[in-house]
Amino acid sequence: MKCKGQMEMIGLVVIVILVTLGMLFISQFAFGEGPTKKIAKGEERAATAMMALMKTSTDCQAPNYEEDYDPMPTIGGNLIDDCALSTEFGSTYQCDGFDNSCDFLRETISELLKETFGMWKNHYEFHAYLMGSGDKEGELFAVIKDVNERGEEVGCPRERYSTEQPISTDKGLVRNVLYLCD
Amino acid sequence: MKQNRKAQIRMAETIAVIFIFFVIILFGIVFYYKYSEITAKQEREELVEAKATQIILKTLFLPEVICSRGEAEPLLTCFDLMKVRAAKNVMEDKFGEYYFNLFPYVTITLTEVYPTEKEWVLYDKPKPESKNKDVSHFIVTLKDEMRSSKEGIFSFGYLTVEVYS
Repeated sequence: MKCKGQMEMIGLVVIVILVTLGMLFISQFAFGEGPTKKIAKGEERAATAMMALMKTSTDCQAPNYEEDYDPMPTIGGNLIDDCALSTEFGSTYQCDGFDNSCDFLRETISELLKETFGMWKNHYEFHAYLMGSGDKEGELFAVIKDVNERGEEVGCPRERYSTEQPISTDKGLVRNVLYLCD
Repeated sequence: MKQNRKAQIRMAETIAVIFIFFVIILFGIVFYYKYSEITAKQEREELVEAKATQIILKTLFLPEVICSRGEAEPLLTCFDLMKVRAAKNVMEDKFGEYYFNLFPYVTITLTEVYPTEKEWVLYDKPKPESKNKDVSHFIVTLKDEMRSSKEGIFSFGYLTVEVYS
């Protein structure tokens, strides 16, 4: 009788050991390497893309060339400022085929992101918020999102890496935000 | 007779317990094998990815192609196209061995997306008989002083690193 009890005890111990081992394996899967590395890499990619975007020179031209105007305006250096002001005074820079610099900016940024992140099958979103006086915040131009095969906008609704490039304009601060996701 | 039957039942019980025990052990082994296979694959991928990142970083800070501004700090993630055009021949022909130590078995390509579309192969050394390659991209700025009379223009482009394994 005593022997049977001991045997059952041993059986129980073996089961407990096996269950513990199983739990250890599961925990290794669940709490393995976190997404920190991935986030850091994603944010780095977004940041360099934003830097390159803002530095890009364009073919837009100032109508009456003056010393103040750049002959090769850049997206971040001239055109975002011009777009922010265009709502009141109209665009100073003339971009071929576009009514104003805002339309040109949206089209160009959209094309550049499509030819890079879009081609690499990454989802993205680009926002340009104009912070007016007070807390009021509006979109400088419509949000740019990647599109799928059916032509529907996808963007980054959930987990995403972001970078921000604020640009001070005469109309207020423009917050350029680029979101990237897999 | 009765005792004999009882012994047979116990025997069957023991066999069943041993069978279940071995089934559990087998499950454990299969699970562990699958797990280590996935881990090994992930580690291999991470290793190749790390190598690609390392090569991207080396290329970004390569004095031969970086956008320098005299004694001032160079522009980050920027390539000087005047240097790129000249560096291509030097990197492949004249100092091939030196650059092979720096970038073993990789292809480095620079692509301009806007305003014009162009491509430069900076370094090309595919591994013989290699079937796998890991491709990484990195967005950069390209500076070209030959295209504008003033300070040159900044183009939008990307760097592609293909690592052969």
